[in-house]
Amino acid sequence: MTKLWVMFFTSLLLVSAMNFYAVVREPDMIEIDEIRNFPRETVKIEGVLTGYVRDPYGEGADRIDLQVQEINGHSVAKVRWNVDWNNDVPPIGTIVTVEGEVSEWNGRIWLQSNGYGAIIAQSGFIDFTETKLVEVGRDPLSFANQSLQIDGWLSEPLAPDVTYHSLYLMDNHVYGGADHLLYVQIEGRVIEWVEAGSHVRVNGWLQFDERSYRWRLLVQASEVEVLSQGIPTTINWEADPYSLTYDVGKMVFVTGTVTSIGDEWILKGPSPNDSLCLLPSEEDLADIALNGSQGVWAGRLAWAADEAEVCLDRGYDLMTERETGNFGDDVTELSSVASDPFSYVGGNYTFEGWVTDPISPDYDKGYVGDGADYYERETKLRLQLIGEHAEYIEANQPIRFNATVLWSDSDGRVVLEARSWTLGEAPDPILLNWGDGYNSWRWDLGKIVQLTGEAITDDDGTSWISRSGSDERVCLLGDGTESIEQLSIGEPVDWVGRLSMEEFGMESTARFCIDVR
Amino acid sequence: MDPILVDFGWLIASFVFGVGLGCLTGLIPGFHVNNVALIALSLSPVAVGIGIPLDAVAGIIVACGTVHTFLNYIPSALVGAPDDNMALALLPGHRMLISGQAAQGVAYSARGSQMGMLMSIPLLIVARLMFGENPGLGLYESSRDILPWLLLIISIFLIMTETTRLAWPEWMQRATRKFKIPLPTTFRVDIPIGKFRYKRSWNEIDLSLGSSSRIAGILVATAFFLICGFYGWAVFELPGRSPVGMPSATLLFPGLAGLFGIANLIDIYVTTSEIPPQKQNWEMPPMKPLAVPTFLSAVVSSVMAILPGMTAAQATVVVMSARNLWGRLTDPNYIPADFEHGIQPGFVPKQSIEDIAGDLEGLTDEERELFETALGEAAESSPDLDLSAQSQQQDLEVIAVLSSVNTAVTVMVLGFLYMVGRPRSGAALALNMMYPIDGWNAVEPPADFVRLLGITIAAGLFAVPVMIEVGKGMLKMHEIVPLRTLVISVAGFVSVLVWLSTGWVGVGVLLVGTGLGLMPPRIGIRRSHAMGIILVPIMLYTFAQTFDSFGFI
Repeated sequence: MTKLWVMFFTSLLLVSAMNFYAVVREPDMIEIDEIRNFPRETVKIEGVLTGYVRDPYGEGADRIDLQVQEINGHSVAKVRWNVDWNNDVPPIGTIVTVEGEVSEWNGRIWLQSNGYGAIIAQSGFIDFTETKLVEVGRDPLSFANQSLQIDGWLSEPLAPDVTYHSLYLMDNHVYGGADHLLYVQIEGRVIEWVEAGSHVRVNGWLQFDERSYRWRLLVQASEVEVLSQGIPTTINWEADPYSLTYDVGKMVFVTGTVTSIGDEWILKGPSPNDSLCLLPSEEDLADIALNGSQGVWAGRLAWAADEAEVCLDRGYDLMTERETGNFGDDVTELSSVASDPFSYVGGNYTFEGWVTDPISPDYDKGYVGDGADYYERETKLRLQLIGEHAEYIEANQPIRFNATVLWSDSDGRVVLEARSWTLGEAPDPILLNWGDGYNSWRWDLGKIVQLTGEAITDDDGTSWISRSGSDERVCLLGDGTESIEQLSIGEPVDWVGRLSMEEFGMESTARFCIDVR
Repeated sequence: MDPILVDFGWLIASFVFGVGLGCLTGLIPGFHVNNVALIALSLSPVAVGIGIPLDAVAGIIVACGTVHTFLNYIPSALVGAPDDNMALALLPGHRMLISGQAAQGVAYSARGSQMGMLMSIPLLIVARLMFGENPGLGLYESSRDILPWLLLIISIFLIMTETTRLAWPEWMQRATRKFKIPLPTTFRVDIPIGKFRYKRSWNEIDLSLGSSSRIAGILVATAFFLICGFYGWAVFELPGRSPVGMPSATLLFPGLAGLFGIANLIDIYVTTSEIPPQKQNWEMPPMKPLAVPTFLSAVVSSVMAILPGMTAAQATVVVMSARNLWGRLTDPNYIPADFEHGIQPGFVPKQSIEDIAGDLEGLTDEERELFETALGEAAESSPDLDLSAQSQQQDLEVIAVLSSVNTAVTVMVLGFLYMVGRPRSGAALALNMMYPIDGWNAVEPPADFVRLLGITIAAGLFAVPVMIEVGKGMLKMHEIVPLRTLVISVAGFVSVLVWLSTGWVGVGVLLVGTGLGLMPPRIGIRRSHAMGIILVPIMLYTFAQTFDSFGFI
């Protein structure tokens, strides 16, 4: 027993000595500004939490992205926190200590932090100072960099599954009647729609946005408390039609008569020129007396991109209009699984749908949606392919598959594990226009696209597709003979290939390429 | 109070608590340190909330893991319920128990673990220089492409070291009986390798399939390895959920508990009824004779610890195979240490012709005379040869090596977490998920690693006297509680733990695993081939990644 006690105290001595050495060598606490001087090193920073997004790309990743701003300063650091995506995050405005490795790629720099202990809130959770819009408006400086609790009315609705909103907090439920409007940036997702004009109480952090020369309140979606839902506004047929665009996304009432013109539905107003595109719900369509019905119609004003017009969306289900083709009766609707997943978990079902994004041969995961494109889609579920697929599965390519419905505990969502599948015809290439630029083209990355231009080769031997009569060009990935073939053709041709992006980390530049191989 | 002092207080508390938990996990079969680590991980947000620094929670996991590797010899040898890492300790440990030398076994295990830990610490620096970068050779990054091949080669090596000879099916023996091609002259091979001579002579090319074939043994071992592999694949794919909400349910636990735990307990229950009185010889063995084998163990462990799916069990097979090979090369009369088959539980070695007189009754007079002559010649050629004593000494050495490997792997896994950022055990995974791992990217080790290494060494030093005291207690318990009652209690406890952590699916996995685990001793092959449960799925996944998306499969 004596030996036991001797060893016990020797062990304690050893732990103490090594701990003393460790304390001396703890990771350095550095200023946020200095982060880029410590590449690949683990450092600690201290700052104010100004925003965060859980699972930023909606892929079920256990990741929370945070913004941490210097206390009483203007430098900000991005933190990628690898932790359960539903882990508690301190309220906005909390002073936090972040420990992580300084990572840098392609000119971007961030702190890569792992584990629950990477973010520590200082002195527990903060109390929010309750105030009113008018008080902030009178003397914003006195509230600068403080955590505030303010109530007011929303100028715009908050849509679920959208990770960022910018709107105004008003002191009146209608824009026209408001005297004070505080610009609010909301990070994160709300669970269900919060209508414009809703009375809410928000907890946020007030700061001056130097870039926009205005005060803003940074708010997390979870810190928006709805005191009363907004009442839908009534659309006045006498108002300027252009003013409807201000209300896109909002729930509205419209009085009128439903009329069918071919496949399209129109809501007609009191005068012959009053008409509004209508997207009827399934229930509406089931009503045989819909055509010619008169009344007050509630719905959400939506911008129908394919029609380029504002429509009244009453929960239009595009599935009803789709060609069923060879869809069998035993096909299970994706929306049924989405609405009641646990009734399906563990079972095998046949599904039909469209793959939403390309799946390369060396990857086995993607999404399947119930619409052929973004606008027609209402349900989108995670798809995992078990087995080989030698070719690309293209975006918007129809797929029929037999899958087991699984509930992924780690991702907190339904996964359709497909073991056999049949692919429909790949969609036609997406037509790219030269003038659309990055913001438009980036949505088609990875997809098969078509672009008209001339193939040229520069002095370095790089091939390009060049816009005729201009300097615009796109990198061409081919076998190198395209420009010679082009010479024999003598005029611009349509190039069909996969759109990709090459990044040059050293030069901090990127360029689009079309791979025609 | 100064925050540094508060943190220090928590650290000391975590060390003491971790040592206590390690004793529990080490002594309770099936209650693995990984369970503690995962529970600690799930509670870490709570710990942060009430002000316990995560360094302290990490300290609990590390101290618990280290002490566990010392004390897990005790249930494997004294109760017959090893965990996956100590599965190979069952036979030599049990032989010590039935020969009344369990106390010496515990002392050798303690010494082995202690030396494994001490030997692996300087190897951390070597490993850092080899596998790390700036400064370092960066071998880990360059070896990642060949990782699946490396695993395949080691798996093949482990299977090829299977020495059991088995009979081919009788119809095959009959069908190939005449497949013998006589050679015109006798072909002889005599190659000296060290003090060992490789001598062989052939009169004919024998293609017949006989009743004692090593190839048959290897094929059966391969089949068992693959069966366990596909069982493992199924285990990884099956959904497991705790009916009482225990965190991070993993079906690997019932899989391993079935293959290595319950199957052994059933064997012990069936073959052993009581334990002979034990000699109270708790004296620690000298370090010098164990220095070479434990150093070799630490070296092999440092390589195995970086490979996914490799555990102390595989490292032990490699070490013992190398040790036997070295023994043969350096000593012509070397008797290979039996670390895998040995005698079945309940067998008592017989040392003289009188002892075995009863067993010779079935022999004819001529056969009996021949046997006695052979025994007499053996005694004349080696008058000092005491097979029983030599076998016992080898068993003790095997126990020391096993324990050394087990502890060295734990130390190296902690080191590799900081060197290459890859967790190679459940405990390391919990650390990685719990707080930022400050990589060992410079010459000096990171502060956090130094702190945890300090806890590891301290826990290892303290675990030695703890192990001796606990061993004494366990032997006393053996005197009070009948072995079979103890075995049934442990099996029942493990089964309940399986149900609590993974539900009925886990119980099903446990039953299948037990069925598989009962096979090796009945066939005569090594039970460590059951580690295919982890190796095969990892190889499938890594090969699939190397080629294309499941294209290889």
